[in-house]
Amino acid sequence: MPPDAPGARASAGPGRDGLEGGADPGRPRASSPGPVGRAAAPAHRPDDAERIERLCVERGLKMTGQRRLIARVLSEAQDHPDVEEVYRRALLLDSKVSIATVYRTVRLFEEQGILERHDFGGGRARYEPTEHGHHHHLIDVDTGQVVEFEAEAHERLAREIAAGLGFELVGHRLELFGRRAAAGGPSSDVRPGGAQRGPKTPRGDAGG
Amino acid sequence: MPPREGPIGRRCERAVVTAYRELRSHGVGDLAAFNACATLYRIHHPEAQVEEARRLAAEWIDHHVVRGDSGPTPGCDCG
Repeated sequence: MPPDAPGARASAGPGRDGLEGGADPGRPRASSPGPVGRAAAPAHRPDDAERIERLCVERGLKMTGQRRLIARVLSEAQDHPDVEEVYRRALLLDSKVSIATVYRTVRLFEEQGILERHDFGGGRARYEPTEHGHHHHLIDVDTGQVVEFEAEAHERLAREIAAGLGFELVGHRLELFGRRAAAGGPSSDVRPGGAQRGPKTPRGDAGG
Repeated sequence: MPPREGPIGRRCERAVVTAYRELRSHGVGDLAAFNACATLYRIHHPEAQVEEARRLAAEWIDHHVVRGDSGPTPGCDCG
């Protein structure tokens, strides 16, 4: 998954991917999510499922059994699953759920602002509940794993850049694409100047 | 699956819904049948992107087959 994959959005600053220089490392959010394709042990967030249901009711959507099921799967996910992954997990809970229903429901939730859609490359959109607070994403290009993080230094830099251009920053996105460094010493997999030790906190230099 | 409803206006929609029903009745899994129907839609509409094909296939299958609803569905102006 190349960093310049279609749909990959650049970070703050015009036309630039990632930051350069020694920005403070970001803070990972909660626990690291598992890769798509494996149901990582979810940190149950009951508030999310209730929130999704409440938003559906507020927007006049009927909360059917299957929508509740899908809301539960999404609320328990930490790894920004795509639709097929949501479907696989829903199947574990109800063998009668249909991929068509999952697709339609996820799209409906997105249209109603209940879910946020992300394009991290790879040809499939991935989803997370909205109102998870402002955060950014680091994508493991080998596994598709997505790590959420916050980075105050990046936020400051983004505001400064906007202000320098005569704008007040109202929103921004940052997506980092990385590859985990091998543990221990250098190996043949280590790229000159590109390897980064394995912490989940991303660095300011995107490398590559 | 609910009994079949009245005729579907769009040719591509009829094809998708019919194909899904028949594939499923022959034991093809839900995901495989869905993917086949999204591909079938793109045979009818080569100009359509994959995402649109999957979206419409999902709409039609959920509407006609899963929920057995009647009434209009979104889509193209195929006769």
